[in-house]
Amino acid sequence: MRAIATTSAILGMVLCVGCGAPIAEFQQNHVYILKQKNELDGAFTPQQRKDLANVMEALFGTPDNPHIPQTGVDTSSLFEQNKLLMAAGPYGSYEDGRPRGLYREHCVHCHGVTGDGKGPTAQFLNPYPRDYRLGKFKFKSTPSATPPTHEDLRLILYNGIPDTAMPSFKLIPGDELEALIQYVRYLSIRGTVERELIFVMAEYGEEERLFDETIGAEQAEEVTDVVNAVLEDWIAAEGASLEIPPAPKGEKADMIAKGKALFYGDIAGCVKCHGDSALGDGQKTDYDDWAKDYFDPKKPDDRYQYIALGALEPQNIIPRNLRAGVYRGGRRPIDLYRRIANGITGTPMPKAPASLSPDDIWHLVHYVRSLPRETTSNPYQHVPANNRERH
Amino acid sequence: MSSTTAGSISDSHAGGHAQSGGTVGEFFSTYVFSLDHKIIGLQFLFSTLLWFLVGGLLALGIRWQLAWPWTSVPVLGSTGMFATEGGQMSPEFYTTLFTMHATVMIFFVIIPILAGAFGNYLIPLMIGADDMAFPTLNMLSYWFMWPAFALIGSSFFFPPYGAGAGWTSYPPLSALAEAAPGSDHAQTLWLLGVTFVGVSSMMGSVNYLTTIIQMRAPGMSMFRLPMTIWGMFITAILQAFALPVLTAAGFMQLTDRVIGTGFFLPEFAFANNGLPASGGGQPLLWQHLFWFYSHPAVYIMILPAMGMVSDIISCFSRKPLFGYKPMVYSISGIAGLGFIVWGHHMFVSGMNPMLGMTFMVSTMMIALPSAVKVFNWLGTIWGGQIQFTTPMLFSLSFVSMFIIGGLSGIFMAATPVDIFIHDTYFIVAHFHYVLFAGTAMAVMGAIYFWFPKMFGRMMNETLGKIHFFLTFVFMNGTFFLMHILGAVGFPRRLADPYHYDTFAHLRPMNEFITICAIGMVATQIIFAANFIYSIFNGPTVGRNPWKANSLEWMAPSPPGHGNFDFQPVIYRGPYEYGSPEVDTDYYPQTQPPPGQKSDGDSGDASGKGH
Amino acid sequence: MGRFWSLLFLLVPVIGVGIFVVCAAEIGIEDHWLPENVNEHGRVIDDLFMFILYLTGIIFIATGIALFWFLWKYDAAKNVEPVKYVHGSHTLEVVWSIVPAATLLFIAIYQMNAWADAKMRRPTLPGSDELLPPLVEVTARQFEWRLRYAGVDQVMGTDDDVFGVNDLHIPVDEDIVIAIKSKDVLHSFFLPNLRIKQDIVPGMKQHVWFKSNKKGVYDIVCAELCGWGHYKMKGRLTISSRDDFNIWLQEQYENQEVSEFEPEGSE
Repeated sequence: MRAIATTSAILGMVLCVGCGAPIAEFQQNHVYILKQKNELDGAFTPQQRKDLANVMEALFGTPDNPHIPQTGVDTSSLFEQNKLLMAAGPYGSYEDGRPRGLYREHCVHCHGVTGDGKGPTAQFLNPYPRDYRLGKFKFKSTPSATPPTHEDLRLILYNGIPDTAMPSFKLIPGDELEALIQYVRYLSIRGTVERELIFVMAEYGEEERLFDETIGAEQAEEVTDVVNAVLEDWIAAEGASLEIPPAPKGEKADMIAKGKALFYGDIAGCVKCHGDSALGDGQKTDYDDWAKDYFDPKKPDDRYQYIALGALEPQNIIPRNLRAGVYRGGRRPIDLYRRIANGITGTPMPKAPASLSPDDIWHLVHYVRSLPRETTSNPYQHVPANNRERH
Repeated sequence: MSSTTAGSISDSHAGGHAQSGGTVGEFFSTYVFSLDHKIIGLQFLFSTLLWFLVGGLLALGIRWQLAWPWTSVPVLGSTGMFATEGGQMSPEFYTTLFTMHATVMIFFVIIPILAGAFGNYLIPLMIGADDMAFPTLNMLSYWFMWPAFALIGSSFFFPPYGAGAGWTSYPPLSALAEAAPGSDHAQTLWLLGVTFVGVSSMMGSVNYLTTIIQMRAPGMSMFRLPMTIWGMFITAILQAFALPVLTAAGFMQLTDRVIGTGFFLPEFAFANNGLPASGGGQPLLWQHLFWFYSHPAVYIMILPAMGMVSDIISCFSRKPLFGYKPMVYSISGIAGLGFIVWGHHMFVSGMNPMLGMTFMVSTMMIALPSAVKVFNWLGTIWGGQIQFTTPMLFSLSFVSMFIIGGLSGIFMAATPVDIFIHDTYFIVAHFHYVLFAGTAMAVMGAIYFWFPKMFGRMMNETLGKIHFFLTFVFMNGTFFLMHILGAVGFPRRLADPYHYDTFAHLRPMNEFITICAIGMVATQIIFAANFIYSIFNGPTVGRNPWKANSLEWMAPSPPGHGNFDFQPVIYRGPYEYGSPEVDTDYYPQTQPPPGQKSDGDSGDASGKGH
Repeated sequence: MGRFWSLLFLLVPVIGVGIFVVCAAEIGIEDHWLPENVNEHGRVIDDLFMFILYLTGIIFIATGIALFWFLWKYDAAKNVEPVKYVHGSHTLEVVWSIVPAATLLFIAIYQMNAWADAKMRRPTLPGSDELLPPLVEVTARQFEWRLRYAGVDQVMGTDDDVFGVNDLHIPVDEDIVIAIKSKDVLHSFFLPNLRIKQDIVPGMKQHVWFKSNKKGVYDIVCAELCGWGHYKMKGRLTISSRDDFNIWLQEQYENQEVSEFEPEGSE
C-alpha cells in the first residue's frame, strides 16, 4: 500500500543519515602561524603547512593513536605508551578492561582535542582553560622558564584549582590519574614542538621545506633538534623544583608584622597590583601570556583576525584578592612560598626580587595567610529575614 | 461574520473550505489569517505536531548520551557540530537538550495542542455555536505563537544552541549570565518566548470561557455538555488565573538579568568569576511563582485529555459515561486543589519545612478526584459493548497509563520519601507517564477520532492499530524502567551519571531504554504517514462515521463556515448510548425524543430513526 | 482482536509488578533497588516507600485486572448481552470517594513525624537544649564540594580549620550536623546512602543532620541543576570510626601546613 511504501522510504532515509562518526583530529596552530606571518613575514605556503602537519603526525601520532617521538632521547621517565593509550582515543574500554578515552571523558570539552584550551565549553568560562601548547603552567614548583614536574601536574589534577572551573580529580583511580598527567604532558610537548617548528619555518622562503622527501621527518635535523630540546627540558624539570628552607621560628604576630611591612614596601611592590587593601584592585587591565600570545592591548582591533581562526576573546587577568582565602595554586605554606619566590609563570606576578631573603618570603607568606582572618576581610553581612537560619 | 445569537443558521457549505475567488489576498484570509475557529484549530494542530517532532528528536539526543556517553552523536556529530572532538557532545549541550526538550514539549506541543488545536476546533461544534465569541482574538492567539517559535527557535542556531537552566529556569543559574552558557542570550529569548506563549494562552482562555458560557445552543445546559468541553472549560479557568503569575515571574527574571534588579538574586550573587549582582532577593521566590503557575499547568496539560477520553470511551463502549456529575466535580476538584499544591515541587528546596506538611496534605488529597475519575472510566466500560477502534485503544491506554502515573505521584506526595526521590528518574517516570503515556496518547486517539470530522476522511485503521501497538510497547519499555532507576536514586539532568559508584552499573538499563525510545520515535513515522496520506487519499465519510452522540457529529464533515446547516436544539446529554428510548445504540443530542417533531430545520439524515 | 487487546492491557499489571518484584527481591539482578541505607533516621523513609509501594501495588493490580476483565467480558465481538444502560451509582461514588480519601489522609498524617525529624529537629548537644554545632561546612560551588572542618576546637573560622575538596570524612555512630552553603547558584546536597537531600540556596544558612551506623565509602551527588558541570560534582563520603576520623583529620591538617620542601635528587 502506498502509505506503507512511503513509511518505509522515510524510515530508510532516517536510518541512513548519521552513519559515519567523525574522527577527532589535532588542529594546527593557525593562530600562531598567522602571528608569525604578520610579525616575521613568514611565507607559510600551503605546502609548508602540509609539511608541518605531516611532520607532527609522524612525530606524535593522532588523537586516537598517539606516540612519542623517537628522536634519540630516552623518554621513559616522561611517558608509558600504555598510559597514553588509556587517555587517548574515543571513550570506551579496551578488550582487557583498561579504560580508553579518559581525556575525552574528563578534559576535552574544555581543553580541546589539541590541548589548546578551546573546547566547546571554553568560551563560556572565566578564566579560560589552559592552553598547554605554550608549555607554560602557572602553579608549579619550578622556576619560570622550566616546565612543571610530575608532582606539580599531579597536584593540579588532584586538588583542582579552586575559584575556577578546573575540578579536582582526586576521586578517580590512581592509574587513570597517571594516564591523564602523562597525556597533558604529551599535549604540551607536542604543542611546544609545533610552535618551535612554526617559529623555525617563519624564516623560510617560499620554496624552503621543513624536510625533504628523501629523508624521513624524524631525520630532518632541524626537527629533531627542536624535539630533543623540548624533551630534555621536561626531563630536566624533575630535579628543578625550588628548594624551600623551613620557616623561621618566632612570634606569629611578629612575623606577620614584618610581612606586612614588606607587603607595603617598595622592594616587593605588592600593592601595585594587589592594591592598598589587598583586594586585588591595584590594577585590573593586564593580560596573561596566553592572551598576549595573539593580543596586543595597544592594538585591540588586530585581534579579530585571530578570533576568526578560533582564538578566544581576551580576558583580563585580575590580581588575586588576598582577603578571600582562596588560593588557586594550593593553600599550603610551601605553595604560597612558591608563588612569591618563583612568581606565577605566564602572568604579571613576578618572581621575588633577589634582595628578598627566604626569611623575608616566609614573612610575606605568614602575612598573606593572616589576611583572611582580619576583621576587614570579614565585614558584617546583613542577613535578610527571609534567609535566616531555619534549623 | 460572527453572530451574536447562538447557533444562527448559516449558509450551507458542504465542504470545509469557503468558495474563494482565487486571489492571493483571499488565500491569505481564508487559510493563513483565518478567523474561522476550525482553520485556527488546524493551524495549531499542524504547528504543534511539527514541534512534537523537534521535541522528540531533542529527547533522543538526551537518550543517546545516557546510553552511549561521550560517543559520536548521530547526525549532529557528523554534521560538524562536535566534529573536532570526534562527534561527542559537550556537557553544556546536554543541558540545552533537556531544557529545550521540556520547553518545546510543554509550551509548544502539549498546551497548544489541547487548548489551541482541539479546544478551538471542538468547542463551538460541541456546544452548537457557529464560531468562537471573539474570532479575531482567536486568530491572534495563534499568531502570537509565532514570535515564540521564532525567538526560541532562533536560539538553536548559535552556541550554546539554547537555554541551559532547565525548563524550570531556577535562578541564580538562569539569572546570572555567566552561570551557564545558555544563560546569556538564549535565556532571554526563552523568557520572551514563554511570555508570548502565555499571552496566546490567556487570549485563548478568555475566548473559550466566553464562548462556552454565552454561546451554547438552546437546550445545551451546562450539565449536558460533553466532558471534552468541561475539560476545556476548567482548563481555561486554570489558564486565566495561573498564567499571569508566570508572566510576572518571567518579567521579573528578565529585569534581574537585563537591568540589574534583584528579585531572585541573593546579595552579591556571582558565578564563574563574573561581576557580583547587588541582589538582595531570594531565589526561592522564583520557585514559588513559577510553580504556582506550573502546577496548574500540569492540570492544564491533562484535563482536556481526560475530557476527550471520557467521550471516546463512552462512545466505543456504547454506554453512558458512568457518573457524569461526579466526573464534572472531580475535574473541578482537581483544578481547585491544583492551586494549593505547588509546594510539592519544593519540598527539599529550602523553604520552611512547615510548608512541607501543608502541601503534603493537599497533594495527597488531589489524588482523590483523579482516582474517582479512573473508577468512573472503569464503570463506563463495565457492561458495555466495547469496540476496539484505534481511538478507543488510545483512550483505554490513557486510563491504564494514568493509573501508573497517578499512583507514582503518591510516592512523591509523601514528603520523607520525596527527600530521596526528588530530582531522580522516579519523577521523570511519573511525569512522562501522565504527560506522554497519558495526554499525548489521548491526543493521538483524539486525532484518530476527530480526523473524519476535520477532513471528511478516515485514517487507516490497520496502520492506526499498528501505530498504537508499537507506541504502547515502546513507550512502556522506555518509561517503566525509569521507576526502577529512580528507586536507585539515579539523578536527573546528569550528562554522565556513570561516574558515581552508586549508578555506574545502570548503563545497560539506560541502553535498553534508549533503544525503546528510538523505536517509539521511529513508530511515529507510521502515524505521520497515515495522517498526511489520509488527508488527501483517505476514504471519505459522512457526518457521523463513529455513530456518536455529541453535537459535532451532526455537522458536515468537514463543517463549513458557521458549522451547522441547521439550528441545533439539544434534548439530552451526550452520553445516551444504549438508550431504551430508541432502537439504535446511540441517541444524538439533537434528535428529538420519540413523538416530538424537531424544532428548526434539519438537513441531516443520520441518527434520525423516525 | 478484542481478546488480543485485553491481554495486552493485562500485561501492564503483570509485567509492571513483575519488574518491581524482580528488582526489590533481587531475583537474578542486584543493585537495582534502593541503595544501602546507613543512616539511622533513613530507615523510616525506606519503610514508608515500601508501605506506599504495597498500597499502590494493590490498587494497581486491582484496577489493572478490572480493566482487563471488563475489556475481555464486554468485547462487542463476543458479548451478546445488551449494554447496561446506567448513568452511575451514588453508593459506589460515595464508597470510592471516602475510602481513598481516608487512606490518603492517613498516609499524610502518619508521616509527618518522619518529616519533622528529617528537616525540623536538629540534634542537640547531649543533655542540653543547645543545638549541636556543625562538624564540617560544605560549600557547594560550580562544580565541586569545598569542605571546611571546624577542627579540634570545634569552632569554625579558627586556625585549626581543615580545608578540603570533595573528600568528606565522617565518624560513625555519632550525631553529625553539616552546615551547607552555596557560593554561586543552587546546588543540592544528596547523600543517597543516608537518604539525605537538601537544596542549597545561596544566601541561606542551612543544615543537614544524620547518625550513620555503618562504616563505608559512599557517593555525594549534586541533585539540583547547577550548570554544565552538574554531573561532575561527585564527592566521596567516607564513614569511619571516630579514631580513624581523628587520625585522618590530623593528617589533613599536617598536609595543609607543610612548610619546607627538598627537591628530589637535589645535590
